[in-house]
Amino acid sequence: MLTLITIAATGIIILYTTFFKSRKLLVPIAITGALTALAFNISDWNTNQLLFNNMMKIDNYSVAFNSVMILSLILILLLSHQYFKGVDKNVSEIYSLLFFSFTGACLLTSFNNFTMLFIGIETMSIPLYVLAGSKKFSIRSNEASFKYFIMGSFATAIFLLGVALVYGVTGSFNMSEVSEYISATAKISSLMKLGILFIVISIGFKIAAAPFHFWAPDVYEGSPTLVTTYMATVVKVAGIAALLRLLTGCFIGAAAEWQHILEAFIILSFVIGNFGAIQQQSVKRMLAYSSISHTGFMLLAIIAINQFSASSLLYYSLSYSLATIAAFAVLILVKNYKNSDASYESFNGLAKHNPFLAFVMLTAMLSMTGIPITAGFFAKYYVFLASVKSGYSWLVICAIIAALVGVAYYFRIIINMYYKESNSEKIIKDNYFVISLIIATAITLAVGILPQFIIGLI
Amino acid sequence: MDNITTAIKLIPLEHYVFLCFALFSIGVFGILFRRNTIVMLMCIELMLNSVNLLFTAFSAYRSDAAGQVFVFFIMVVAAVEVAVGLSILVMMKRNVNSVDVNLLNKLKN
Amino acid sequence: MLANSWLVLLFPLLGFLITGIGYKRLSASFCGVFASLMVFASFLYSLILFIGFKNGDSVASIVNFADWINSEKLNISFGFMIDPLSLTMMMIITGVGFLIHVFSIGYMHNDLRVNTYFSQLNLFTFSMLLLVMSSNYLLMFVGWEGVGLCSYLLIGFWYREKAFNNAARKAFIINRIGDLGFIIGLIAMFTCFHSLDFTSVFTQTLKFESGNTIITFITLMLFLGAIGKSAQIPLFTWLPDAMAGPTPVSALIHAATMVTAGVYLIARSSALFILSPVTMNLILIVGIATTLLAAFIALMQNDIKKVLAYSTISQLGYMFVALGLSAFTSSVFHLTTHAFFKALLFLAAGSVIHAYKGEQDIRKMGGIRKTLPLTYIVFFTGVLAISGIPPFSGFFSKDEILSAAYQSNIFIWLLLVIGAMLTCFYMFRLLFLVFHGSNRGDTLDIPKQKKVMTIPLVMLAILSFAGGFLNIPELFGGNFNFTNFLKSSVYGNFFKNEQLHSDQTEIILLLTVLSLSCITIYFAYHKYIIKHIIPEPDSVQRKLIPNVIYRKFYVDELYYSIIIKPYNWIADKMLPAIEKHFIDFVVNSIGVVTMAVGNRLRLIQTGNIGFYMFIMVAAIITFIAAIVWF
Repeated sequence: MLTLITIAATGIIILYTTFFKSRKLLVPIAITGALTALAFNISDWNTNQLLFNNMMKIDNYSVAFNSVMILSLILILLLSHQYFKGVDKNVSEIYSLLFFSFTGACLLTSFNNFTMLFIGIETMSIPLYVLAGSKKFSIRSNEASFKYFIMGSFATAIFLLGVALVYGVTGSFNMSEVSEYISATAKISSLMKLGILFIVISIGFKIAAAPFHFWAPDVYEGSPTLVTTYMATVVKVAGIAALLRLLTGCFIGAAAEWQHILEAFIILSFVIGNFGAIQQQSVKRMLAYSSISHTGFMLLAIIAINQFSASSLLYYSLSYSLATIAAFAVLILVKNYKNSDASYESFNGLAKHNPFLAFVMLTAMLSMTGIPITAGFFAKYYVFLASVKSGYSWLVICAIIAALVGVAYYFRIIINMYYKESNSEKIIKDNYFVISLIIATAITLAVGILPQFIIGLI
Repeated sequence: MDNITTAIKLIPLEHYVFLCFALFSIGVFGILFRRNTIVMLMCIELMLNSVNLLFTAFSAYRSDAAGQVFVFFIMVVAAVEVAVGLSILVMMKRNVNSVDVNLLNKLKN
Repeated sequence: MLANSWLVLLFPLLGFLITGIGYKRLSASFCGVFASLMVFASFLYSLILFIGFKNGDSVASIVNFADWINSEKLNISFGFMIDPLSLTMMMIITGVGFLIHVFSIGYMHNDLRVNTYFSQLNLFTFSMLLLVMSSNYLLMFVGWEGVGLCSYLLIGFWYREKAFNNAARKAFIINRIGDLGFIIGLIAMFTCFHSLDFTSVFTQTLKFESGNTIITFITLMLFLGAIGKSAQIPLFTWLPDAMAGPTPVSALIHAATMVTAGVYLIARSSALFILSPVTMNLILIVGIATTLLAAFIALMQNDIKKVLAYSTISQLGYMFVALGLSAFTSSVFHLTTHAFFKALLFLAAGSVIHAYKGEQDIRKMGGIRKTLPLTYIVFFTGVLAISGIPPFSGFFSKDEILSAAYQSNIFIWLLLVIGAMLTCFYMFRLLFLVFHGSNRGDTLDIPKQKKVMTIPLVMLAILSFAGGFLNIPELFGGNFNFTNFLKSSVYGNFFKNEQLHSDQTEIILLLTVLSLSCITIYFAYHKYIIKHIIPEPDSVQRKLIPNVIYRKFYVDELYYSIIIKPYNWIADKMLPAIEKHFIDFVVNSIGVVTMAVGNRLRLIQTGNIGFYMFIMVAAIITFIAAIVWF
């Protein structure tokens, strides 16, 4: 509760700092806000409260996912200071939009009613349409913004249709009532099935699961890189947390209906994510495709729908967010320094003059691939474990093959950084940036060595 | 209020459902086949409003106000979306001097 | 106190991280002092734990620091086992390790990569402590691999010499064979006991009969791991080559601590090993064979460090004999005293080498006792200790093993006595050739001996002299303090070597061994002092038997011809046939196909919104159709 208020209030406060025209205050205010929200959020641990006429439910699940997302937000905010340095126009709107969007993300982890789910999705998405187009005079940014907007609105419409059908059948928006209705009825009506299908599809769109991923590569590439980082981490984690909450809390009785949909999502995400990534020349686009493939892995935890689902998904979200933020952060630096399109070649010889950046990128790539002592290894391990428990061994085999293909494009960066020559020089980075990178890498390694700290939480 | 609900119930529920599906599909087809971005925005509105109608119908038939309240949420969100969508359009018009969606294909593969 | 035992690990880890990360910025003197201090802090904490343990109830305690791996069947904790055995090892590692760190400050002061050296040395200390402190086999394996890595790094520390790199590689590869055995053993153990925790495994062993096949298999595999790490036949050839590293490294890693990891492993797993007579006999045989073989080779070596290396192998053989006789405490006791006197010998040898500006050939040394009197005294102490002359420490530990052997079989006792005589001979040969006679070296330079180098030597000399008093047998009025302390950590009937045979026999045995040793020493004195015999140059033609010994029984050559040569031959033949035409083809094809598919598939992403929408709607319709259909 206080978490949400703090986040929203921080957004408003930042909006007012426009009057003072002091850029220096922006990041400290934003980070203070986020840290306060984190503190409030953690104080909700083990309290289990139902708020606003059962509209929202704060439990350990939502607190854990909120913490992961707030951590990502803080890391992104730390990156933003240097990122916006060269931008002349006022950037406080961008920060407040980020915070408004984050309010929606927090709703997505703690909703207990379809109304809240809907409001959460929209509150999260609409500021993002604007953020994607925040480079006003870049045609690529325009295009990304418009594509995201049209397809996002389309998905919203589909979602609403689904909610309408579920409402028509059950007569309620409350998750537990819908759940009771489903377990009480012997045969699920076809309107209900359609409703579930539409809802799952529209959330699949938000988390960029194939075949509803089409917006992702284009939007990720066209948007400002920092916004892309936010989309790839917070938005995806919020969406996937919402999906698991919805499916366990509401549609668990109809598991047979949506599990087939998820199977298709997973397989297609692996195929499209991996094969799409392997031939890219641009690292940014590669990361976009790889995030589609990661969606497939996260859906594996959801399809299993057992006691391991939540904890393995949490662990995966954390490791994925940290690795993605680290990778995008290094990408931002390399891209700005070379003033290039962020191709693989611009990473050549990075290790020689920027060993720290190269090491951060190395850890991120190893974590994404799933090599031990980075968090990515246990992330994949626990997700696999969860789905094997539910009898999805064949999906796990597909996932392992997908992870193997992943080596090809993740290691390409490592090879370019460490084994190719170039005449690059030391890249300048400010202290916020370094702190963010250190935190991301340190946590990646720490949880990689001691996964129990996260796995045991929920 | 009561006689409105009775009036709504004069028409069978199935008819509402079919009408809404039809409207929704028209919206979908519009998005698929029209190239003018403003028309696409209107089609999205059409889809949202067809859902509104569906909610109202269900709400009336179940005599439950929650569905109608939901409609208000949808209307707010639809208004916000239009505002954001139109401003994106303006930005696009400024940059490429056109509102044809086919011009937006710089990002691909 | 106990709950914070992870602090012991933290200090060396901090030392490694700080000196390792700041190796470019920090000054060399700071790194040396800092690294030493970290190990000293670790030593102090171990000491506190030890005293607390002595005063408290003497029960092994498991300290769970954190959970590590927790899946349904495999539960591994990040836990430490603090019991007499691990405490003993911790004290040796940190205590001797600290002295060697200090010595290194003086020894390495001219080196360009001092900071790297100290960070690696600290990493080694950390890994070794992890090895002995862990409460389960998997965490132990982490430490096991960690020390292997550090050994590799430090053997090849002067990486510009190709031969040194090869030595490092050899050590690493041969250790791999042992590690493979270790891993297989762990897998077998997990399938058998469903756990890798010491306590859980050891309690479950009570259910098994002696001679159980699975247990035999597990112990054989663990023993293979121990053979690799502790340089026993047939995997001992890496240790002499490992002398390529800096001398303090040889003292710490390849004499005092890492090579004893195998002994520790078996002593720790005593509950398993006593259930398998087959393995125990094999350990005995391997131990005896190694003792004698290494001792023979050491007779003819002319490199001061190689002599010490072979003597290490030989002494490790003694420890394995004791293990094979289920005299686990005697083995650990010998491990302790050996750590003292062998570290001392290596460091003293290091001083000599330092004085000769890097010369290691004993034929080019001599008479240095006048210029390095202190080194001479401490080296002499070490030699007396290793030769088992009372009351030096080696006497007590060796005597325990010998009497255990006599209990079991007089033949084994005889072989061990021969080994002891050989030890006396080669050690005194080394002493006489290096410190007595006339100076044959021409590079002699008299550096002022630094305090940092002399103080550790003196400390170790005191330990080598007095270390034996830890465990005075009842014969001399002692009460087996050390054995009684260790007893609770190991299983098996280790009491039998205490007092089964009478005092009289014991005294006779002692006197026999002692007189034989003295005769041998006189023999060495006669040959090298009275007759001034200097070992022949390499090029001289030797008679058959001396030649075989001089050539180290051709073990390296044997391995070369039966393993490396056929291996290379197969590799040469396979290269075109299998590698090029099959493996490369398959691998490349997979790559080409993947790339081609990727190239086609990414064309779906046309950039056209209408097309995207079309596919999405098509997908939705397909899903609806599927729902309606089924």
